[in-house]
Amino acid sequence: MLGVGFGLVTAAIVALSTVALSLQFSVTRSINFAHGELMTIGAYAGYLVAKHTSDLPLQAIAAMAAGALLAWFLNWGLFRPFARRGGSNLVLFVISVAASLILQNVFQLIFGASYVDYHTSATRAYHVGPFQWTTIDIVIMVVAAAVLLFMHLMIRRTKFGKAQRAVADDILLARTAGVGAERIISLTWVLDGAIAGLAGMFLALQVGSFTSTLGFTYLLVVFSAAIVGGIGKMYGAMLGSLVIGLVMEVSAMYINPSYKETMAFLILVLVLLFRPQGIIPALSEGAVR
Amino acid sequence: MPTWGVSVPPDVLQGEEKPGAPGASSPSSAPTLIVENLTVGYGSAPVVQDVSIRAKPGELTAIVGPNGAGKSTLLKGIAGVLRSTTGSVRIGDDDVTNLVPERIVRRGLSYVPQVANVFPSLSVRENLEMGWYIGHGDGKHRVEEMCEMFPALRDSLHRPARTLSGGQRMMLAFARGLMLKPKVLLLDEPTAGLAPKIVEQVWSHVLEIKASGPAILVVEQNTRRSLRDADWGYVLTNGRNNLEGPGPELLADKDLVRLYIGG
Ligand SMILES: Nc1ncnc2c1ncn2[C@@H]1O[C@H](COP(=O)(O)OP(=O)(O)OP(=O)(O)O)[C@@H](O)[C@H]1O
Ligand SMILES: [Mg+2]
Repeated sequence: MLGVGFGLVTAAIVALSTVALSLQFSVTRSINFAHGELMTIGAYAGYLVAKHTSDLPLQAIAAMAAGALLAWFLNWGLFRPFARRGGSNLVLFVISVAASLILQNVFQLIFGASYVDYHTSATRAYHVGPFQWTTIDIVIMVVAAAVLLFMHLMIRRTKFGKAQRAVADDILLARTAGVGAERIISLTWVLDGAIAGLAGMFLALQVGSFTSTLGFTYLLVVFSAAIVGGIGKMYGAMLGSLVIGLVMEVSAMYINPSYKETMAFLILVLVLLFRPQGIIPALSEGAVR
Repeated sequence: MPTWGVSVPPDVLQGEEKPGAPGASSPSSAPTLIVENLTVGYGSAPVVQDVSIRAKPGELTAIVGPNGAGKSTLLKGIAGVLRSTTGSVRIGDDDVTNLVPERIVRRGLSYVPQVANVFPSLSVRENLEMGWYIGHGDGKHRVEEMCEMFPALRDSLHRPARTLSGGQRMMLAFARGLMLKPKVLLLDEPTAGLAPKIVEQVWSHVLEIKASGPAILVVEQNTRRSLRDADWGYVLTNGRNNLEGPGPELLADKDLVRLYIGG
């Protein structure tokens, strides 16, 4: 049961990052291999602010702003110019791999190659039913739940969310209906970056110390959750994250915790073998679901 | 009588016709859509060359021609989906040549493509709302009016558009295109692949809408049907203007029928 408790915290972090990735992918149709760096920059931003203040919301705002800014820049400087020239998805993918590596090196230049410590004082332990959580664990889960609910309402109810789904469905048709698709895509990146940045900060807080490869090494987990849920499906991403988070932490109770990421990968392979379309039933197929 | 058009004051819309009877436009009324010497293609080779088309308010203008003649390409060029290399497109006095599609729709043009004309994962209601995307205020009253005009939509408002039958899909695409009360409506093969009964329904909607004022430019495979009701028809072959005239007259031209329409 302790494992399940930790699993829920991990699932919350994975879900934030995965839902952001899924939304970005379904609206822009490009695979962003530099997604991990959005997390990493969020972690570093939170870490920098924490040097001056222990105020968590301020650290979170910095993390989200840094992630949003980097994501906006990735779109503006890489994805959009190449998409405008009709660059193929493969080209964009390769470019985002390069961006990922370059960003990791930039982080290393700025922050050094060694681990930096990032802690919070919010570590009082609570027993909730069979689970044992610290204050920050609970904060992470509550905030993640709130963000996911916000995303749900935005996607389903707001004009912006509907425009995002329309662009995801058919960008040309959306444009003939008057949707400024480039603006929608740009804002989607910003949102993606903000949420991924927050997820990165939470991840760093949870592990306590990190390097420039924090997000990169987590990319496999995030991609696994996205694919397990059915790539590009937002609600699938939430469920996939839950599965991956629980499997990672529960397995860590029984076998060496350093195999956590391998477990995520194992689930991915199993799903690809038996349900390549993801674990969400076929009836919910569609763009942003 | 609601006024047609989006962001234009009512007094400049639809000329000087009595608001109560916009369908009764005289043959001499000025065209709403004026396409002159348009050349459009994909990449370097032009598909449509030097084509000129006019469509008047309250009239049905049909474009017919064999497969691959460039009819869809022409509509894409008018709607801004493809860039034209020469020529011009005007809506009234408004030059809209090579504006991006999201701008052209603001000038009062609605384009209903031949395929992929609904948002599959959006519900029927959301599809209609997308038709009102640039409209002012909420479009609830228009959704309601569309449900009255196309009763089949009302029962499916909450279903994703991908679950609709071909006929329902077409009705939805059509209704979406009407949400803003466009001055110009482009319809690309609205009856393609539909059962004969549904074809009749779609077609009667076309005539009903025509009576309410916009200039309708329709591309049809079903040449007989469209020319019979068309106030003016254009025959497009190999991407060029070939013949034009009142629809029924074109249909009476035996050579034309034999060459391009068959039987
Ligand atoms: N996306 C595209 N890219 C390149 N060429 C195209 C494209 N779409 C159509 N074409 C070419 O343009 C020509 C005209 O096509 P278009 O679709 O405009 O014809 P059409 O008159 O609408 O025919 P149909 O009656 O089959 O709908 C064809 O030769 C076709 O091969
Ligand atoms: Mg066509």
